[in-house]
Amino acid sequence: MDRDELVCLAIPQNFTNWIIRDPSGKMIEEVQINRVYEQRELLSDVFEACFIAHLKPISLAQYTLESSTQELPFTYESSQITVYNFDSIPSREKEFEIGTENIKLIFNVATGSLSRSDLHSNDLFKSLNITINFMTYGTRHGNQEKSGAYLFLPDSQDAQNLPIINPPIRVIRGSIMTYVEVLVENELKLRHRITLFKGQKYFDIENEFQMVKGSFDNQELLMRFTSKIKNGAVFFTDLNSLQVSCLTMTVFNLLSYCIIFFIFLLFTHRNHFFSFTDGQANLV
Amino acid sequence: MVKRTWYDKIPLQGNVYPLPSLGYIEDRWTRLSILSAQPLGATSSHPGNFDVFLDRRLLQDDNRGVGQGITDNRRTRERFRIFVEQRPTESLKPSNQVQKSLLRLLNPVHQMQSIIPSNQGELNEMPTSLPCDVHLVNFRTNLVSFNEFHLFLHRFASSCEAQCKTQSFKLLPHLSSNLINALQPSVSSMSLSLLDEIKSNLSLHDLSVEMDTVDFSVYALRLK
Repeated sequence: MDRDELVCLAIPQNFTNWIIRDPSGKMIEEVQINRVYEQRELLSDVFEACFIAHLKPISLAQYTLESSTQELPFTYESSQITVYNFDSIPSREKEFEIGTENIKLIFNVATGSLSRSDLHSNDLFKSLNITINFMTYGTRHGNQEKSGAYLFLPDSQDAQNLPIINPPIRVIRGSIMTYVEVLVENELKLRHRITLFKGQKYFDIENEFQMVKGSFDNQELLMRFTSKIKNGAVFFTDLNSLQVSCLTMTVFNLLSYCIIFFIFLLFTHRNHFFSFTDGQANLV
Repeated sequence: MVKRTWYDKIPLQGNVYPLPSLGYIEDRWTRLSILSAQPLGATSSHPGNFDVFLDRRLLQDDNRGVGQGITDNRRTRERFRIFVEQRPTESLKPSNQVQKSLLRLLNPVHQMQSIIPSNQGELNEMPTSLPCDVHLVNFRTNLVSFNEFHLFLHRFASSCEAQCKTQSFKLLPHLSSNLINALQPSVSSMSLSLLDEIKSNLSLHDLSVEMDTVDFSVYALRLK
């Protein structure tokens, strides 16, 4: 299938007056420039240029980054940055929102979590109250059998909230993508990013973290979505990502994590041949 | 898709299921789909909830064969894509939009960089896209002979709204003239394991691919 993919390139700060050309040599006019961060720190020597690459099926497309000797007829737009809770005093605002023409997401400043989401459909904003929270399960105490690689034996029937109080939050608003990055400064060093894309009806979540020795011993981390959807007790999961259902699985209940990897091994020979790009960084 | 039910009569651990790449909850009007770029575990412990297990750190062995706990955690990046949509008519199938987005999430574009520019801006071996519910899973050389290529096609289940009328389609318009000129005019239909030849001497020019839903078609193409 034809694909429109967001591509972001890291460009050195001292490389100026550059342009990006598409495979036909035409200048790409819509490029979003973002600052780059490493946790709290702003990286001063590099920035990020994001654009949409158009790819045909089974194709190789060359995008060229080059310095221009001529004065550019336009300037690429830099994204707007807003931060919350970066100072020692928590921000006064209670919530903030990001949105596109299709989706509006509202975040709580004190917890950094998505607290409401509105979907645009048929000229109306429908509120679905989707929220996202991070939670943990422990394992059984005392001399009882405890969780291990296969067995999941939690200490309680419901998960405990992972305490997150006034985390530093960074909001990047641009013409192509807008994202919220929440930095949870506990031992997990969780970087939780929610991204909206122009023209798309979905949003992406990216979590980066490490369950470190000590504070997260015998813990299971989960991300809980809550919504107004009245699904009762029914939910759906796929059997493998290829919608192939000839494998028999009889012992899946307790092995929530492990069996999937075996299924994936069966299909690891498939290569990613459908489409690929060659975003050439041509530093002249 | 597999329908799962949360049962109060069994403990939490009996209600957790694999989430290889896609899960959703729905009511009469709305479906919330969670697409995962990596296999994890999931459950829905309360109405309206969807829990995704991200990672665990467990100090002890559980006597099930591993012989150790899970203490080798690394800093990990996990990606998800969330869709909220009107509920399709069929519960057991993802919408075509979600299915295609999932393929994109699972098969990210490869980025390669070079400081030597090429004169050729674009190389394209498929002039038209395949029908909207057909996925080119793989197109690779035979491991023994580099003269032979295998084309793996898969038709996924899509809800009726997608209207992909692809019970059969011609393969030829989807191949570039470069490929057609390089290939022998006869192709073979193969089993998924490539061990059996189902039909030989099929004409590449007249080849009509017929696939049922969630079925595979595999063809062996040979170079001239």
